[in-house]
Amino acid sequence: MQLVRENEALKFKRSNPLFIVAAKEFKDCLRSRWLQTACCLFALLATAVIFGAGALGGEFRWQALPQLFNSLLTLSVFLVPLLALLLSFDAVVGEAEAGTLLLLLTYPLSRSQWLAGKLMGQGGALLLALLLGFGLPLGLLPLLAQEYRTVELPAALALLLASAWLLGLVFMLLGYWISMQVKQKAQALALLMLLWLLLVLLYDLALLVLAVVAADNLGQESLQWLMLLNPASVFRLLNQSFLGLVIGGPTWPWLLGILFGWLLLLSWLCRYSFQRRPL
Amino acid sequence: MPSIDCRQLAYVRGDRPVLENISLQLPQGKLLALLGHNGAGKSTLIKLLLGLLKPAGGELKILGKAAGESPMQVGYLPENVSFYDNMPLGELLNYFAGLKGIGADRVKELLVEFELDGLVKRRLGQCSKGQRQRLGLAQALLSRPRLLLLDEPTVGLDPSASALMYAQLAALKQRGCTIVVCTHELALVEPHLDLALMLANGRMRALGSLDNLRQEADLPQEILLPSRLELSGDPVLGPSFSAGRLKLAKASVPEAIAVLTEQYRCFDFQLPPASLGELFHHFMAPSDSNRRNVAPKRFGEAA
Repeated sequence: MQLVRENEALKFKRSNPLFIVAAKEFKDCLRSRWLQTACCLFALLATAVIFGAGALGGEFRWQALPQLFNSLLTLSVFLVPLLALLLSFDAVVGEAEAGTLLLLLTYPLSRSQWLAGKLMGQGGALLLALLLGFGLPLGLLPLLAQEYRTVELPAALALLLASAWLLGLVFMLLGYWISMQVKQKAQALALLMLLWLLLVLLYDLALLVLAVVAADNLGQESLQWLMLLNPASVFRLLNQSFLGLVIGGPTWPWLLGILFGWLLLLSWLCRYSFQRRPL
Repeated sequence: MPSIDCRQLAYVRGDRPVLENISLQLPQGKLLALLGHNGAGKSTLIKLLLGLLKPAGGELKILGKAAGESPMQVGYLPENVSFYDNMPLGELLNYFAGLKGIGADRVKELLVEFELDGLVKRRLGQCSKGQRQRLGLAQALLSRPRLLLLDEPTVGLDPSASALMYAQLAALKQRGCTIVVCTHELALVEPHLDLALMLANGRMRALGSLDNLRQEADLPQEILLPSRLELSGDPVLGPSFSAGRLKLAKASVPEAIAVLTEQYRCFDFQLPPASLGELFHHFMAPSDSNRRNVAPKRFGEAA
């Protein structure tokens, strides 16, 4: 038949579908208002922290590097997970609602490839937002002030950006996982906002209350371990440990390892859940 | 080798059987209309044919291979697919083409064929439903598939867009493409189908060509009369007459025609065959009332 001959005559040159999905997701994110807003917000707030905190005493004075980075940590622990969740909440349920999930699964593309491509593309966009929003203003610091022309700044900045990215990826995977469990985008968004509130705002507060109320029974070490159960707290501790703001407890390479562990665990969980997700 | 060969196919969700005992051989280059009420199992059957679901029993071969093993030979258009609102139309088709490893030439060819070449940069959120459906069909045809599975392809389309969609399907069938269309729009699919499969509660109610189904259903024959002819007072035809038409059991038709031609000198009546809609209502009626509702009426009985 004519169509059989035409089909056989078609030349197929397949690139790795993972990269095709990643490129599409990256472009989608660049078009997204969430990412554009977040980029501007990161840059604006980072600049405000750099200049605003220096002027707090009534007379402008450049802040010491650890204090400056500590302020940026507080900022990024709120904003990075929020951006990651806003980018990822509809990753699966949104595609299912649009009918494209079913369609893509009929293509020569495995579920794992699709999911990994999504993470790669959206993760790439998050990294770009971090580099432009935080990296650019902080990278310009040595040009602005003599105080910041130190070897510590590039290292602290690199660790802040890398760990913030890891934290974002962890929350992105949490977003994917929730997105696989629900039937509507709105449900996913509501659940993830609740999760953000719990992990970013309430968890540390609860630990603080616990430390005051039951410090004698629990002990310092138990509280530290409880902190490690929350990736947002691990991120904060990791950078504070590197800057010398925390004494004792696990060192920053260990904490970086724990953040990686979260990433691997959630990657496995997402893959496992996605393979079993009913169509 | 049939494009679709399934024997006693079954699918179970949890403890609930969704499809039972589905057997069908669809030769190449034919159009199968998959019909049934909502929840009858049509979309589940399409997912089985695509290899997205695993059958609980029976055998299934698609183009001679297990379902899902020939993704380049099978095109699919899901129901109500809206794609990505922020993506330009041309980029979307290139994205799907990339996933199948198909070059830009084929994409351009399809854009022209489906009259979408002027909309390449338009975001999908700004495209009409008809343009999106045409894009969906173009997507399904990227790899020049030998089997095309379409789930409600004309839902939400205006009549001219629906007619255009079926004209495109007819052209594809002409070129040897086997097509399965899952639809509720019976009048639209009727002129194009070769086979119809009617499903109810996951079971086959009927399968065959229109002629076969008409034969099997043995529905009363309608005779459409010219408007000048008023037969309500006729002692023989009157009980079967209503609103310019006679409805009679098949066996009574020759006798009625004899009366019409000899007594009333009427030769411009029409004998339309049972439509797909009528056949659908016949086969899909609950089985206990089915026969009672459509029992052929004898000559002279009330219609």
